[in-house]
Formats: sequence, structure tokens, C-alpha cells
Amino acid sequence: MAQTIVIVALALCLALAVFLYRGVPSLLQAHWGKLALLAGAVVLPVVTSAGSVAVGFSESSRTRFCLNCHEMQNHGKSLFANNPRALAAAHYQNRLIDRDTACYSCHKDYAMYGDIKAKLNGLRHVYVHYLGTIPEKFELYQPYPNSNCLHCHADARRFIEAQPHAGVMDKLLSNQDSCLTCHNVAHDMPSVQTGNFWQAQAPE
Amino acid sequence: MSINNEIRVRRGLALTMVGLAIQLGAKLHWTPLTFVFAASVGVPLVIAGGFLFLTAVWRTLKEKGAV
Repeated sequence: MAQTIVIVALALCLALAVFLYRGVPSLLQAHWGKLALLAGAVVLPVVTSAGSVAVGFSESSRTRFCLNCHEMQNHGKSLFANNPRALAAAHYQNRLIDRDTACYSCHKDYAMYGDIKAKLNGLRHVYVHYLGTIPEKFELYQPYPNSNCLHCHADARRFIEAQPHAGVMDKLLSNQDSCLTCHNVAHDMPSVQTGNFWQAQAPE
Repeated sequence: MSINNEIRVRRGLALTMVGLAIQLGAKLHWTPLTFVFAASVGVPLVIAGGFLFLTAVWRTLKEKGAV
């Protein structure tokens, strides 16, 4: 919806700019003409461009944006892996995260500059996709921080009361022990290779 | 407004039109690459166009002794 609004706004701004361009000499003679030029050459294009970039940034957080690149498509398929222990699949299938922003929800840091860092990493991905060498195996730029998990789970009853967490809670909270030590299947790629997918059944 | 400033206004509008067209094209063919291209080329062109227009306005005001 937002994309459509931006497309219409950009098209209208462009049409207005073309119209004004053709009538510059006469518009400069009239007071209202000068105001129309100010609006059509500066105010509306800048406001529309700002809106366009804002919507673009929002769109670039969407799952479908990440899966635009073919090398990410197996990771996208892993969201449907038939493995309740696989983190990506469990979070996606149980709706623990917003499905529209599945990648972004787990792969952005929840610190102050998390969004900016994620976008800069995304820019790096675009560079590698078009101009670089795509690696055989994907690896994170840094070890996965517990804070990303704890952002949602820290005060969740299921997390706090889980017996295995009791002895290591301090270490988990201080990032000394990684959540991924025990929850060690992030994306179940073998299931993707064998086509072992979960399919939701409609309730009878 | 002098002829030179009229040309500046036209140039400013032309840059704005190119910037808007790039952004519109990117929105119609939405991929990570077109998004980066629109944000890094289209938007600066719109800003440059607006800047040229405002420069022309400023010069005109100076010529008239309004500032």
C-alpha cells in the first residue's frame, strides 16, 4: 500500500515538474507562478523523495526483500523445514516473529545503532551479490549475540522457568555462554535439501 | 529574472525530473539494487535540482537588492 502511494506521488511530482519545465518563462512573470515553481521544483520532490526513502527502508526489512537474491532462497525455504528444533523454522511457524520481517527480526541487533548496522550489512550483501564472489557457505559477520534472543525471551515465562536455563542463567544474560550452544540448529538446511517441509493443516 | 537565472531554474527542474524518474523506475522494478541506486543517485539529484533552483532565486533576490 505504502509503495503504491509513493509510486503515485512520484509520478504526480514528475508530471508537475515536466509541466513547470515547459512553462518556466511565463511562470517566472507571475507571483503564483514563482510559488508553483518553488513547490514543484523543491518542496514536493524533496518531501516525496524523503517518503520514498523511508518506505524503501521499511520495505528493505521485509522477508521478501531478503529473498530477492537467489542465494538466500534456501534460507527462506528453511523457514518451512519440518524440524521444531530449528530456530528459524520454530520462530516462523509458531509466529514468534512477524512473518513479513522474519529475517530482520533475528538478524538485526537490538542496540541503538542496530538498524543502521543491519542496513550497512545489507548494502554489503548487495555489493557481494552483484560485484563480489558469493561464498559457498554463509557465515555471520560476528558471533550471534544472546541479546538478540533475550530482547524477546528475557522476561518470557517459558524461558525463565525452563529447567536447563536455571544453572546458566547468569552466563546467558552476560553473553558468556551462547544460546546457540544448546539451540544449535539455526537454519535446517539438510531438511531443505531433502524437501522435508512442514505444511499447515486447516483445522477440521 | 535574468536569462541566466531562467536557465538555472530549468537546469534545476531538469535534475529534479531525472531524480524523480530514477526513483519512480526503481519503485516500479523493486529490487535491492534499484533501491540502492534510487537512494544513492535519484535522491541526491532531486536535492541538487532543488539547490540549483534556490540558488537562482537567491541570485534574483540579490539582483533586486532584496537581500
